[in-house]
Amino acid sequence: MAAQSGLPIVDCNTWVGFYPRQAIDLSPQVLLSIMKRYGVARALFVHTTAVFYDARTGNDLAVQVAKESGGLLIPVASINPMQYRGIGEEIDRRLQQGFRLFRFFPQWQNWQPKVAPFRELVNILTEKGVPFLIDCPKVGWATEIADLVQDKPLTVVLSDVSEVNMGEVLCVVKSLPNIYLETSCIIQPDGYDLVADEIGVDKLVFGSNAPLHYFASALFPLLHSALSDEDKRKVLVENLRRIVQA
Amino acid sequence: MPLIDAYAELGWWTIQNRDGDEIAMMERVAQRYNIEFISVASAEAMRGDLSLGNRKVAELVAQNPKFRGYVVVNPNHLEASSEEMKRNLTKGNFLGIVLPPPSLAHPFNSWRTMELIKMARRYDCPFVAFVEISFDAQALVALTKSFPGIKFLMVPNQGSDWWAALKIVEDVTNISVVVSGLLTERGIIEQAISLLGERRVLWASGMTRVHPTCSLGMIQEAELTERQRNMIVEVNAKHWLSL
Repeated sequence: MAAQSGLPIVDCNTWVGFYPRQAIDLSPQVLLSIMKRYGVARALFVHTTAVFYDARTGNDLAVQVAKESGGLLIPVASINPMQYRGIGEEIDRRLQQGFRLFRFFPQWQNWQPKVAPFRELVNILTEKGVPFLIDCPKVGWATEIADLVQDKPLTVVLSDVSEVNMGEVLCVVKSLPNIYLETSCIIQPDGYDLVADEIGVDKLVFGSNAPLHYFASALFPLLHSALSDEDKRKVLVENLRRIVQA
Repeated sequence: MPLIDAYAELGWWTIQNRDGDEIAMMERVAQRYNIEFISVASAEAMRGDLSLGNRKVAELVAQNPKFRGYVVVNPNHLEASSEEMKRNLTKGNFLGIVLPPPSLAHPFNSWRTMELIKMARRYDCPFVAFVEISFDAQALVALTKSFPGIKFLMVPNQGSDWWAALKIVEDVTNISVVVSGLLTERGIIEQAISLLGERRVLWASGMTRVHPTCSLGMIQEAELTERQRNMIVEVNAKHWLSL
């Protein structure tokens, strides 16, 4: 199997930092070496410290890592809405620093998308016109997110979707024009064809979960799918570019 | 290099499967990736009708030499399981027995599972055991102490605490583990080789729940020697499954 696709790749779902849940090396060096191996042009990453410890500290570290990567690693800001105090200021600070995307992790931080602080946070992001990714592995969450953003001019990408809630996610993504699906949950070449038939290839954004997971396990099902090269290009780079540039 | 798939499931039930002929799909995959044998169990027997599902596998392996069968048993149905083992394990094209995931049945060290293993001893074949949480691995180790002559193939499900499970079974030489696209955390293959040695790690496609390109990509990406890759995708399965 080819190591590189020959297609441009931008990965919207990567990690950097110390991973407290397992002994997996998430250093920038490892991520950069994976990118080089598979021809990934840019990786959007969150810093684990922002997810598992403190958002401000982690987002600061993300800025540092991004600077040191020479522009190959693009930081994504994360905020825990349960911290609540100062979230507006944190959003402003990161926007001033040039962050174009936010990401949220309800599963790891023990909250649900329907909680009031997240609703407030979504309202702020809507005012500022900032898209976000949100991990959505549990049944019911995609519906809650859809309820939150259905009347808003705000783009949302559902990531870390699981086998158990895939049907719900497809229903939600199909029904709302501003909700997209990150692809690390698609583990079959046929899955790409089926999902594209259901929600449209324009709604898919490539993500690998690297270096937490083997990059090839996310890339190869897409490369082996029956999607045309043009459609693969949309998934691998163009759909995300459209979201971020908008 | 021909590959040997240590575990796949006949059953067309996940949201990412297309409608159509699943056996034809598996045959196409086997041809594309040069898979010599696919060892297959029935998802229907595990989650639906025990006898009906096993019968479909029996028909498949009788007709198609590319496939080898596992018989699925159910600790909640001891007599029916005994019949299934008797009907199928005396045939040369069945390799072993699949215990359903503990979340669908009972813990590995439960009375019911122990009774099943006692019934199965006469067939002298390996068991496939799904491990979902580290407690399952501990229970499996306890089971091997009661039945030291029986070999077990430990298979992950999505979300399994596989890092702990590997450590728990590290020194239990009659437990081997599979690499599968159902668990893609980076470094897990290298960790399996490091803890269990290169002879106790086998490749499983995980079809039809997951496509083999996931796990083959993982094996390609992992920091392994070519010898270790060959052991995982072919040699170890020959030994472990007596092919």
